[in-house]
Parts: sequence; structure tokens; C-alpha cells
Amino acid sequence: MRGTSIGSQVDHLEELAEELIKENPEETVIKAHMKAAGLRYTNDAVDRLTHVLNALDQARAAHTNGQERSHGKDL
Amino acid sequence: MAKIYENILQAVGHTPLVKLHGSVPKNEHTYLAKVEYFNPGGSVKDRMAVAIIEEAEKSGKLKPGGTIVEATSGNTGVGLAMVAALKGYKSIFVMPAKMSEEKRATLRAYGARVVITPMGVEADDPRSHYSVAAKFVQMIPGAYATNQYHNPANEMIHYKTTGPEIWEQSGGTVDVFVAGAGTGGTISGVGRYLKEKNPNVKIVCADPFGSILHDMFYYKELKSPPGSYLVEGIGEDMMPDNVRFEVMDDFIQLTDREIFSTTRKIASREGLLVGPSCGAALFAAIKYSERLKKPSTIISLFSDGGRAYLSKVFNDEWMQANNLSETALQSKTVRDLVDARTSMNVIATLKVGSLVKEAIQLMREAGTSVAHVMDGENFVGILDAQDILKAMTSGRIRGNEPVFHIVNSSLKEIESSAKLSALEDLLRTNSVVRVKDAKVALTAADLADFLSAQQN
Repeated sequence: MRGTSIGSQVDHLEELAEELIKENPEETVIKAHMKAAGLRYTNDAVDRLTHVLNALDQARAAHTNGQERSHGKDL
Repeated sequence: MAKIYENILQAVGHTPLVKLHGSVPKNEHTYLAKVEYFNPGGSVKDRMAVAIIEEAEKSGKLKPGGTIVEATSGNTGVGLAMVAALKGYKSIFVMPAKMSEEKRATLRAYGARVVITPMGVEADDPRSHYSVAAKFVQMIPGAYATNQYHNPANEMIHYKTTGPEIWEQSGGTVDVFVAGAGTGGTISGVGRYLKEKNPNVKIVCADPFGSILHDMFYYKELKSPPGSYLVEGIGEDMMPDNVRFEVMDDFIQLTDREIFSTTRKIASREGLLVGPSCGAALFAAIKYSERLKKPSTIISLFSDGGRAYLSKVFNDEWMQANNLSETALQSKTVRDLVDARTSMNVIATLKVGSLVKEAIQLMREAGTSVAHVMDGENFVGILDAQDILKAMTSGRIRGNEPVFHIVNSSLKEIESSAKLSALEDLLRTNSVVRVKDAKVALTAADLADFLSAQQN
């Protein structure tokens, strides 16, 4: 996950989550998004949905905290 | 004789029925609580968790090595995780991101897998915790969705265990049973059993404002849109199959403030550290008991313990941040006001033979518009500046006449132990209220002064 900003990581994870919960997800799209989000590819559908949703939750929390901290500085 | 449980699941149920004292009004009724945090997973949901899993095993829907999946954040998850751990099933709980880290950690401690979904999405959105849980069931071979809202084993276990326990423990004296409804399983199962034993038992649902259940019960349709509320585990924004209105007699709607302040009272006055849904049940029980004409036994369901809510209802900062703290009107008594007022020496006292002009002078000097009128040691009544004004402008009295002609001696009275909210109610329709056991009279200005001082 190194080398990507939190904002773009959240975007990749959101797109990845959307793909994973589709009726018939595209494996190539999943691979591409996992790479872009800095996640290790696995073909275990349960594992990757779990990891992606939890990573998305953490990234969102980090993104929100970062925003709150910068608002704090402005004040 | 040795009494050893074969495993922890045998310790589910047979919870105590406890008489309440300090958190309930002193009147002709008996208030009891069925305290469900004695279950090994800490809540009433343990009963359902065991029943649902055993039913799924019997029907072949859950096989050895299978995976239990539920969209839950709370007590149901703990109960199911406990059963899964003991029986060797895998478990996955899907919950929205707002759920506390403590709740996630509790489920992980039982070996469950916890999946967090985004907040603020509709139930039918593919990203909601309901949809993601359904997706897991579809993806995992041998997965079983416990489906607490619609699974009939939920209502049935309360018909078979909780209801009979309450009937036996109360010696059949129960007149009213009060509980909240989330899935509806507890109140419906207990209600069905108690009604079969005695059709006169009243089943009352404690429902937070914002839940749709109240409107659906009384009007069969929504009169006001679903709203948000802070109490967890009761109230609904959809109709679970386990809600059976036919066994319910009444609904009591509650605010978060009523629920949370009652929850704190149960802990501090009964020594029972319970969760907010228990505060809801007790507040509804007290409210409902005001309508009862004869002495009754009222049983509230205390569904879980309070440790999962230490950072919420039992945290003063959280209560203040959510505008749930008791105001002085709810927490202070008339005695507090009288003491504060006396210490400021603002009570003007007149003799019954004092002249009107003397009364006006005294009120001006004391900085008050009300004076007590005494005949020696005996309280005669109140003289209000407004009454003096009315009497003088209408020509009924002159300044050099004695005040006893216009003394108001038929005052509304209040006990000094009453809450200030009760005083406020009286002052809405009376300019002066006499404190029965303190021989002083209070006006709206006195109350406003006191409340203002409390805010500083």
C-alpha cells in the first residue's frame, strides 16, 4: 500500500468492493484494482471481500482523521 | 450432589427475576425485572442463538464444519459466536462501520471473522451489511444465514423458555410484561405464552420515537417517517416476521433522554449495570403503571448488561455531547430551589394586618413581587404584586387598607421532594405555588432564577 495517497487508495478500494459484490465479478478488473490498491492478489473470494471491506474501513477512517487534523491546523 | 454443566450452553436461561426498589415509584404496584445479562454471552440473545443453531442442525441446514453468517453488530453476534466456538463452526459477522471497536474485538475473541461495511447506505444497497452478509452466504459452500429477524426459532425459544420462567418465577402473579422489540422474538414469544396462561396479562412494547413499530401497531401504516434514535437493539425501520402484534396490547413511545437517564438510574439505584434497552423497558413500565387502577405486578425485560455501553450511556461527556444529560428540571428538587432561595434572603413576610402601601414598600426593598402573609406563626397566604395592582386599579382596595382583603389563601401546593419539572408544570397555570412542607411560596421568577444560576 506504500506509494499511494490515502485518498486514491480509498477510491481504488471502493471500486474494488463494488466489483467484488457484483453478481458476476470480472477477475481481470479485480486483479487490476487489487494491484492499484496495494493488496496482495488472492483468488479466495471470501478472503478478498473480507480484506477489501476491512481495508476500506481503515483507509476511510485514516482519510477522515487526516482531514480532521488539517482542519484543526487551519483553526 | 454435583451439578456440573456439560458445556456452557447449558447455562443459557434460568435467569433471575429481581424486585426493583430505588429506580421505581413508591406506589401500590410491584416492579420486577427479568435480568438476562446472567446468560453466559451476556444477553437474552444467547437463548435465540442456541435455538437457531440447534434448529439448523436438526433440519440439516447447518452441517459440521459449516459457516454461520449474520448481519449483526451486537448481542446476537456474541451469542452466535459463542455457540460457533463451542460447536466448531466458522462464523462471519457483517456490521456497519459505526460499531465500536469493543464490539468487533469481542466477536474476534470468540474466533469469529468480522467484516465492516460502509455506513449510510440503504438496506437494499449491495454494500449494506445485509447485502454483504447475503453475498457471503451465496459464496461460501455450507454457509447458513441465521436470519434472526425472520427465523421462527427466535420467537419459539422465548415461548418455550423465557415465558414459562417468568410465569413460574412470579408464581403466576404477572399482570403486565414490558419489553422492547428489535427482532420481536422476545416480546412475541413471551407474550404468546403468558396470554395462553392468563389472557388478562397485558403485553406492552417499549418503542423509541423514530421506530415504525408504534404506527404499524396502531394504524397499520406509517403516520410519521422513520427517524433515528440512539438506543440500540430495539425499535425497527422494517417489519420483522417475528413481531407478532396479535399478542401485544399497547405501545409506549420513549425519547432517548428518558431511556438513557432511566438506564443510569437502574445502575446507580439497583446495582444492576444494564444496557439502554433495559432503561427503555423500565421507563415504559413506569409510564404504563400510571394507568393501572388496581395494584399490579409489572415485569420488565432487562435484555443485556451495561459493560458494552461504558463509553456511551455511562460516559458523562458522551451524554452531554448527545444532549442526553438530565437538566436541572429533571434532576433537582423543589427543596434545592427553596434552600438556594432562602440563602439569598429574598422572602418578604407581611403580617396579616399590614397595609397595602407597607406591602408595596416591603416588596420593593426585598426585590420580590410576592410576599408571605402570616398571622403570628401561621401561614395565611400569598400577596402577589399583580393582585395588588388589579385590586387597586379596579378600586377594590386602597393603599391604607389592610392586605388581608386581597390575600390569596387558596394556593396550589407541592411537596419539597418533588422534581422541579413538576413545579414547572404547576407554574404554567398558577402564578404562585406553595411548598407544603417548607411554608414558602414560589413563582416562575424564582424557578427561572434558580435554573439560570444552575447553568452558570
